[in-house]
Amino acid sequence: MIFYIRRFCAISLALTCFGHLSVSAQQAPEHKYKPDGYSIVTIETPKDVRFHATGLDTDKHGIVYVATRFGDVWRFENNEWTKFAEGLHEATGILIDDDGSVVVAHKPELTRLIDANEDGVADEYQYLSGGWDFHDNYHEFTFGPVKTGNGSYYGTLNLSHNDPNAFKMGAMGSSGGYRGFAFEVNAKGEFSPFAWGLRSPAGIGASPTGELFFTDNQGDWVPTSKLHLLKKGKFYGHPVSLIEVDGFTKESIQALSLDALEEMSETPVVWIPHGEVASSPGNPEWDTTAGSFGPFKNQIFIGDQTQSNIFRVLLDKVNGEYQGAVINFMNKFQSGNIRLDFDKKGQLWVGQTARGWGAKGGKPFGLQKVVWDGTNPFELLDIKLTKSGFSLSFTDELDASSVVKASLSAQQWGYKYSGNYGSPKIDLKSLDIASVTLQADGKTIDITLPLMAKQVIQIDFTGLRDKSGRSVSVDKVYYTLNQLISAQ
Amino acid sequence: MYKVFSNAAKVLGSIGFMFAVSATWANDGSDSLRDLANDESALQQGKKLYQQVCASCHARDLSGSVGFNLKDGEWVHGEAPTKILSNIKKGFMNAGMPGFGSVYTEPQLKSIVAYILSEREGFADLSYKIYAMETPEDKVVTSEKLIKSGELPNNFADFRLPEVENYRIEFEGDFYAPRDEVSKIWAQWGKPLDIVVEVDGEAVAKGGNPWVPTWTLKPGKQRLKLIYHSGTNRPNQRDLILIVTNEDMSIKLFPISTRARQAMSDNKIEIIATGKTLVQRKKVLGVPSYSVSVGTPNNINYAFNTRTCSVVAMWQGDMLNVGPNVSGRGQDGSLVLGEFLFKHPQTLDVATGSDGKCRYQGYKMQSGDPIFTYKLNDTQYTLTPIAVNNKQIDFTYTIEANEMLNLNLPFGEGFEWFVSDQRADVEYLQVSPDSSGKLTVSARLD
Repeated sequence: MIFYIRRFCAISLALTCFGHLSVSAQQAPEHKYKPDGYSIVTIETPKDVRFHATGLDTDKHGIVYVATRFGDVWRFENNEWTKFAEGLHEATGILIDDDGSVVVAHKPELTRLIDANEDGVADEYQYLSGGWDFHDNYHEFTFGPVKTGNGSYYGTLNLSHNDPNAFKMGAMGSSGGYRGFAFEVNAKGEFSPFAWGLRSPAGIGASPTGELFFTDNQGDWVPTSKLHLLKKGKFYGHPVSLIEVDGFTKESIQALSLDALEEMSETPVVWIPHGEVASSPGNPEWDTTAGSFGPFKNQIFIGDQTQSNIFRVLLDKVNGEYQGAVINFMNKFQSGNIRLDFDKKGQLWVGQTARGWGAKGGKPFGLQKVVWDGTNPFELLDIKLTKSGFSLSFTDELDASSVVKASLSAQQWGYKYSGNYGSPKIDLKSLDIASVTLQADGKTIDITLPLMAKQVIQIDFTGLRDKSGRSVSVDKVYYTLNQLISAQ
Repeated sequence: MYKVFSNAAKVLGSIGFMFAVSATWANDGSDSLRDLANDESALQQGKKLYQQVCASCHARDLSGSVGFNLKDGEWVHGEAPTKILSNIKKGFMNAGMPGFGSVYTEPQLKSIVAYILSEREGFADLSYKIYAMETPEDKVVTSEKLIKSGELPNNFADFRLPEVENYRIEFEGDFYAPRDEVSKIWAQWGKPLDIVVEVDGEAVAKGGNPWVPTWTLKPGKQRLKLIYHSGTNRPNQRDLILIVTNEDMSIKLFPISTRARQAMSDNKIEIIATGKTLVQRKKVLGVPSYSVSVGTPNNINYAFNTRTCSVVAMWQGDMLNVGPNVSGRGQDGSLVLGEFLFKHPQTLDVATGSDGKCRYQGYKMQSGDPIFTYKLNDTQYTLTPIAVNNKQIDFTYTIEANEMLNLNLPFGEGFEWFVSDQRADVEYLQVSPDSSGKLTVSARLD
């Protein structure tokens, strides 16, 4: 026992100083992390093509479609690329529709691409919808679409930047036309605004049950990046889009207090600590591969454009509301990970771009995939809130002798909502773990610690080992504790 | 006429500089060629000949293609006007450039040189001085603090030269700004930077906004001095991105620092409709949002607007340089590679008494050309533009309903409209489509 504790402390100090607190220490891990059994495969992209892969989908046959920022759509089948379409305006989303047609989100509209003469190249570029306004501002991206069981398509609309005509209360602005909104296009092609208060919502996803989620990037009015459940008619925190909501004027919006705005805002499902986990997250992608991708089935995977990593979201439902945790999954990708998609074989495809904003991976663009070789890794599988702390389950049986308080540490903090560009950690403090107990399944531990709502709880479990002596590759999980389990 | 424009050619640059030096003191007519660069009729002739003879290799805007950039400060074979003239005459056959001495007359060849000189941009004879300062706040310049000075033969301000913590660096040289428009020096992320710009010995007031300060230049040739104090700037802030832009900063014209040159290296991505018609949706300078640009192999290009269902621009030449819109963050508009025949607010459209609001439905490619479909009120239209040759483009409308069409014709220099072989010289025209609902309006170019 003593041996273990000393060894674990030495390891943790070498890595990140476990238990160390720093308000400004929003640094990404520098070391390479990946679960055992997972590897990155780089796909050769077409020669001399600016292959900034910002739209990514695979069809039921496993054919990969990529939409690029240059405006092409490429098709990858039997290890060969063919250009399916071209000339679009900075496409940042693609969907293979139920009928096999391809829907692309680009700045001015959603376009349905049809290969009518079946020669492998789209010949019809049909307008599907474009009920928003695009003012030729570079930051006015259209993200999506995703489609749910009701036949509707959903997307999100980025605010503008450096638009002299825009209404601004910080860095980003709106010149109208539903900038900063999520939208719905129903099965008849009718556009309607769906929700507002979005900033730079670079990723939208639909869960297997048809619930909509979106990510938003850290910046003004977004203290750190976040994942939200997207609900009709709700406000998500960035005030400038209120200018198009009934009952608001510029003056009345500017007169709103921070408290009033915060009170109006939806609470994120998870906060994503800036830098440590992500800086500019892309789309949430559900592992629906039923185990083909390993033990993380039904979990959400998200790539990050700046950090060139992928992290997981571990959803929890407390008192009927989603909250949950984020945990890093893999890093050291070659470029900025903006799009993820699972194919039918259980491979996780990763669309990449670094143009304009940079990425840790040095390459300007590319396409990679994550594959699993069947090895059971040793990682945190899931985390659930309990009445007195958390229950953490792992992918492999734990060495009982490592399940001691000294193997873990915890800290908490909050974020300050404001028009400032991001927020430091507020009221950062370490938490005493009162007890650690291994459950009968050998894979789950219960920890007790003081719980406080509206905080992010970081739990480090550096000292845990599995029965073969393996340590985890990622030893920190960040749980967004919106609410405690109610007494009932 | 050959100049450095690629990394591969940089090795040759130093040799070229030696040529330049030797050619300068052997000047035997360079002054008269420089004078010719102020002669409008010579410039017109030179421009015409350049576009006919030189543009295919050196680009219409002299920015280089197969051949070198002829506008910037890097010259391999000598920048003295007489040297340029002799190089045009003799050519460089081993590099694929024929000599033109026996093809054109002496005045014609001189007019080409004059035109090239008139298009010169950026620094010439650029030199630098580095002063080691005692503290970040120290701004007192003394001769003792001067630690390094020299020439910069590639004529780009290199802010990576200093190797001390606290410094002041000065760049000074002759400088060529656009002769016929107001231009500005633009410093990217310039808020924390302490920069002074002097034109002909006078400090220029800083304008623009705090993040991208600007300094207005004089048109044409001037003496330019840039002074930068490192202060408390972080290392990555000290390698300045300085670019010359047009007056409203909508076009980044050329780089003047080495880092800006790197940043702009992706700014030239030309889309040219060689062999087939191309369709591109991009932001294009001078063309409204929501326009679909179409380039044809016949060098007649147009833009169809999906919000108004109008043809909002037509230009002759190559299609687009989309570089400014697809490099970096893509803030800037693509540039048309030719001359506008007309552009918005001049438009070609049909109206049937509607409020002008159309419902765009898309386009399909048929026999290599796009057919646009849309509805005005509840009436279905298609528009099929086809450039039949390099002198004529036909816009064929079909209308489902048996209605008269109200044509709105745009006018500009260099073309005329014809409807059913009859010249149409009025802005508004009411015409009947044929029995199949078709109507063709043709633009015939001079």
